[in-house]
Amino acid sequence: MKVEQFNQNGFDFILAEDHSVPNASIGINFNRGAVDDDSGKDGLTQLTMEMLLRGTKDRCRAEITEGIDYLGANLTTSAGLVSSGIAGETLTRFLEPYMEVFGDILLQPTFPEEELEKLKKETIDLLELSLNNDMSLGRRQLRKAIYADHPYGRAIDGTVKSLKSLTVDDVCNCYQNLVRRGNMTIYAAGDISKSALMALSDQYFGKVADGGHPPAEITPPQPHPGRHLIIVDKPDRSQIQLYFGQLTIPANHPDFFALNLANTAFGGSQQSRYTKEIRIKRGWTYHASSNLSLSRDAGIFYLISFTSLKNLTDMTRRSLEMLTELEQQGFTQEELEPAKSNLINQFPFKIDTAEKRLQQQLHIRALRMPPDYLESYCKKTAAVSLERANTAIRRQLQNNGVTIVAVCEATACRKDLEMAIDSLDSVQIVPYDETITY
Amino acid sequence: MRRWLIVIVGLGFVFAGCAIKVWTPGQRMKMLEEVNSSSTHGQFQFVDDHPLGKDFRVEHYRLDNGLGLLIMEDHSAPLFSYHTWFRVGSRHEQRGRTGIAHLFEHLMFKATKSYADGHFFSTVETQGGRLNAGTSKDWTFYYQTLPTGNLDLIASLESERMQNVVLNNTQINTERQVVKEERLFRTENNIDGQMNEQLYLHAFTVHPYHWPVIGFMQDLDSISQEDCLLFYKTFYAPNNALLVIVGDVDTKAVLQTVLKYYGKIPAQDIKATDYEAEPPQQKERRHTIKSASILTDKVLIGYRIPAASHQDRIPLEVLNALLVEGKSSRLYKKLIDESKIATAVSGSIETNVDPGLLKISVALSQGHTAAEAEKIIYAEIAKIQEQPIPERELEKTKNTVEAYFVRLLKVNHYRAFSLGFFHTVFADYREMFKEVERFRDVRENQVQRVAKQYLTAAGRTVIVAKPMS
Repeated sequence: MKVEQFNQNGFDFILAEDHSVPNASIGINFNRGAVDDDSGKDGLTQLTMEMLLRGTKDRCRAEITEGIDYLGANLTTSAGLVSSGIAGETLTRFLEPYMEVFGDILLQPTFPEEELEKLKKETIDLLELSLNNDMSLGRRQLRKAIYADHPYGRAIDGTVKSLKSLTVDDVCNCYQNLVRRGNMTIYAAGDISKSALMALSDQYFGKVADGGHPPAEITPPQPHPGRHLIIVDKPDRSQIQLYFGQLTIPANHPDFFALNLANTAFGGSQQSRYTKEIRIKRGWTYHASSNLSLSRDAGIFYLISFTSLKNLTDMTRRSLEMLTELEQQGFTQEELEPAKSNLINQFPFKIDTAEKRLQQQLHIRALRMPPDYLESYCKKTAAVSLERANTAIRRQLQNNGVTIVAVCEATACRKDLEMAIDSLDSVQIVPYDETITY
Repeated sequence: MRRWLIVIVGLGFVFAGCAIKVWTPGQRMKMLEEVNSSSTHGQFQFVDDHPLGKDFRVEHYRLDNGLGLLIMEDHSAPLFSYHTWFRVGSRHEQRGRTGIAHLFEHLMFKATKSYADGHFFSTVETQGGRLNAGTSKDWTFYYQTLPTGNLDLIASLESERMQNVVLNNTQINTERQVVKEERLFRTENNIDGQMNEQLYLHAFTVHPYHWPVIGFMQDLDSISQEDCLLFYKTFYAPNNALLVIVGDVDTKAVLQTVLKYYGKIPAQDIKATDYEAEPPQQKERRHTIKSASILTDKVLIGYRIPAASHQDRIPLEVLNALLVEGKSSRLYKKLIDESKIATAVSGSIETNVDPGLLKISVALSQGHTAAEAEKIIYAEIAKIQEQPIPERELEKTKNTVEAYFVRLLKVNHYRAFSLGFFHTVFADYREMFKEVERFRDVRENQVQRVAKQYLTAAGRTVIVAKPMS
């Protein structure tokens, strides 16, 4: 079950065939994302993508959604930092009617003003609803703090202020720049042949305008040395969400395999150092992990956990101590080997379905990872020595500073947090309902 | 997403396509004789089999200690899923000791007589496996998906913890703290969790569905070592369990391995848990939560519906889909698209062993109230009860269900989950294969009838959350 990548009639294709079940996934990926939104226009790419589903020359919004739902299919839009897209899946027997709707929304959107105003309201409503989720509040604030004014700090789904400023002209311009043959990759997985994919693409996407251009190069963001505490002040909390984050390498960096292994050994599994200490040994939390969030130009390494007030000081202090120990002392061979086995042995999970094999290729392209990333994954992971891993930790994590984000009641927690954090450089308190309004 | 799914180039190696072995009755009998003759403890019986899709087949066996086993071979990827289902959930708990079924799910990952604390996780993760577990009102399940070649390993670990978990106070107290943190995360600090808990507290008064699966905080503190020992002996027995093994495995090797590790585990005398049936609800029940941490109203409505095995479940599923499935559903259109008073709407049908709830949940927009949403919801329900349902709308629902089943067949874990779920809740995994046809057979008048019968004012419980100010 291989993945084919080919060009035909000016279109770029990726295809992972699998005919075991009568269902096909189809999508289009664009090489533009939130970083390409102009300053102050946060959320424009995502809004433009969604507006494709809000009316065409031949269909109103209700006809589009009903047409897709009737088939038992789905068709959704998305935007990330450096890419965006439209994707969905359908039973094979409905491929033709599905593609007809797909082609219509791609080529004939009308961007009705009334629908834009509705969508802006719905998006703002959803931002407000997201304030109920402490975990997403913390993650959003961490990203904003670490990337700061860099384009990577843009809010992909916009802010209340930016969304209110967006106009039909903004959406039309974004669409004109985005939907061009040279910016697109058409992809499919499942029960669809190469010839069928090419024929359907010619028939339904054939009128896409030529042109397009590679994404603009972005100067990588700079680390923020020191220790900075941001309290997202939310009332009525009996548990505190805690994030400890710092800027780190881009996805295609030569230290990727070493740092990926280090992250797994530190907090990437139930047997990892951080998880064992915070959850299994101390019982302070239900969840404690470390994560390496990959991006094209600079990623974020962060710890995430939550605990009740009585454990807050101890857990914050211990988390910071463990980060310092990691940076200064690294790992032992005994810690690294299980993590290495874990990563290598779980490689089949990356490619066990046609959809996953396809997504891996999109991921490699969007993050500009080496073309042999998948083929060499196990070999390069196995080759990471203890010295190499510990050197990468020192080189890529040390001196990058730590931003601590706590979602809690500021009056109840500030003192405990300040007591637990040695050498604290700054403290900022952000009312939780202001995290989406800037 | 339907209720019972909780709640996922030229490479260095290529997955080998491989034909699935289809046994003739004679071949199977011979194979079973070979498996059983090599065993001094336990014998397998073939029970039945059933095709899954066009390429696969599920085989059902039973060990003489009562352990059920479902096997489905699929060699398209070098992975397999190993699920262990126990017919025990929060329904089997006693008042004052709620949460013990879920606490047990945590304890099952701790030390056993043969293995130290952490051994289960470290062994499975070192092999690249993924693992977790889940507890519901009616059942508890444990799962792993592992690279090929780890069958013996996982069978040895799972069989060990079916009989030899160390239940000392150190282990119990550590996990008790973890579960209390989990409860703070899922309930006390989560408005949806609070509303859901209140819904069951009000909708059920005597039946065990009254209490939350995670348990009450004070009960978690009350669970003793003796409670844990009794619970373990009572419910973690082979005759209360089902193994579901799906993926790159060989049927004969599975039988030999399971026999080797589970054959000696004795069956237990499991008495049916006594509990009161919930009396019919005679009038609407209502509760309001005031919260300082929300900015807008929310409303959660639960209608009492029959058990999953009742024939009305399928038309109720269709009714639920008409109301909330997709952006073309009636309530999405009315609440979000047309009146613009809501941000999100969702719904679900419970598929429980005993009668449960059909739930509708709405998050309101700024400036709008739960009462406005309720008015629209009840009006839409009345329309379904009184006016013809267009054929195309029914057909849409049926296509959605068919597509859902087709997509389910793509991943080992979901196949194993579905088989385990149906066999545990419906007592026969083959019920799963009747679902699409049952949906295809639903008629408009059935949907109207169940709407009239179950979606009544007297049968509903309404939980409203409002901002404090």
